[in-house]
Amino acid sequence: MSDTENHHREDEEHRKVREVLKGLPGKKAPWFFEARLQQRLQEERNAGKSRGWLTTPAPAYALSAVTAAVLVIVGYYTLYLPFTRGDEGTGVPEQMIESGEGITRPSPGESNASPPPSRRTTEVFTPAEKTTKGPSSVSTEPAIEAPVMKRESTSGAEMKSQDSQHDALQHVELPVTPARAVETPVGTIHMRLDSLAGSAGRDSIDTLQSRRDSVLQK
Amino acid sequence: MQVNQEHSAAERVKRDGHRNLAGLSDEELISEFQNENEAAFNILVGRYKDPLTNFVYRFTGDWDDCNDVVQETFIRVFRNRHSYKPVAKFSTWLYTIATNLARTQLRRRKVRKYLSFGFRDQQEGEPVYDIPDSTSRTDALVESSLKEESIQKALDALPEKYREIIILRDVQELSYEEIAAITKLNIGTVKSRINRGRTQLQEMLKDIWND
Repeated sequence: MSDTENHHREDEEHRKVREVLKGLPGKKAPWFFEARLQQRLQEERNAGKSRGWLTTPAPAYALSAVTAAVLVIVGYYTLYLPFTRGDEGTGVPEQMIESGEGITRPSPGESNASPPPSRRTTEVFTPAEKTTKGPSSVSTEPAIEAPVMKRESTSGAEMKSQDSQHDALQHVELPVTPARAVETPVGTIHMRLDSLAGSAGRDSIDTLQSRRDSVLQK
Repeated sequence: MQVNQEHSAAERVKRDGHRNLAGLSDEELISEFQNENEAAFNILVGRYKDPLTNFVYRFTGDWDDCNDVVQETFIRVFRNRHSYKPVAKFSTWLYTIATNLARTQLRRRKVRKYLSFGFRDQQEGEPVYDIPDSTSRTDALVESSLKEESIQKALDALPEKYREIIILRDVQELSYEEIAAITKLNIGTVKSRINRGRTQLQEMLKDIWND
């Protein structure tokens, strides 16, 4: 079949397609079309009117300012304050407690007969091991059942002075029990300083040590 | 008596005004509408609601989608009347809006999955929920209806780019220039797509004219 004949054949077939499509019944809009359209246009007009006052600058800005203020207040109380409040009262830097610096623990052979760890802070005095570290000889029990010590979340804190360490002991809430000295086989004496600490007020560590000595002599 | 005369005069003026508007061209009517004469818009709606419905229905293949698209088209015309410039014909602008909305609707339908109650959207294996037809129909009507459904099914199977142009040309009988303006294609592309679309349709519809 030649190209011309092909072309004619194709034209003929396309003509049939055109006729078929032309013969399709025309779809008409439903009877309620214009009424529905007018209703929607009326809604558009009403929506435009009600939005009008909202889009004026003054109310929009006022709304934004109120929203911003509410967010700031909520953020302050929920985010800022909890993180900056930190530990209340111990004054013991977290670093010192975690590193064990300044904490003298009983040597392994000593602690068998010692009283079980309690919630109370104890001071370990090992005469042979007594050092001149001073404040570093003040020990605290590992915090297995340690009293709740709110620690300051300061990083890179320096060594505190004797007074501040003593303050840390003071702020620990401990049940008040009479002071009791327990002599261990190697002479390590654990004392409960809670009552002493409580009654000592703001006495220095030296004062406490002298009082300890007097108790030992008894 | 005097009040009645005044009332009837006002109605006459209104009627005459309406009649006068009815005689205007599409471009003049839209210009009137841009001057806040809503009667002109109503006349345009009356003129184009049926042809647009026919075009959009043949293009989307769904009656509900068709009504939504045509309604939305006129709402867009109402909202954006001032953006029309008389550089192109009003019908070109109107069909462009309708075509874009119809394409968007088709894209949404492809993503959306919903239960169909009709023959056209039935997938294989899905149950068909058909409302029984209580009216009695003659064989000729039934045959005509089935033929129409087959043609529509063939149109639905055409690629969108061919279907749109075929309908504008062979159903709406628009000119090549107007189709080119609506679809933003050059006339050569319009003609070649019409050719390819007809070839594909011819293959799908050969059973109809063989009967």
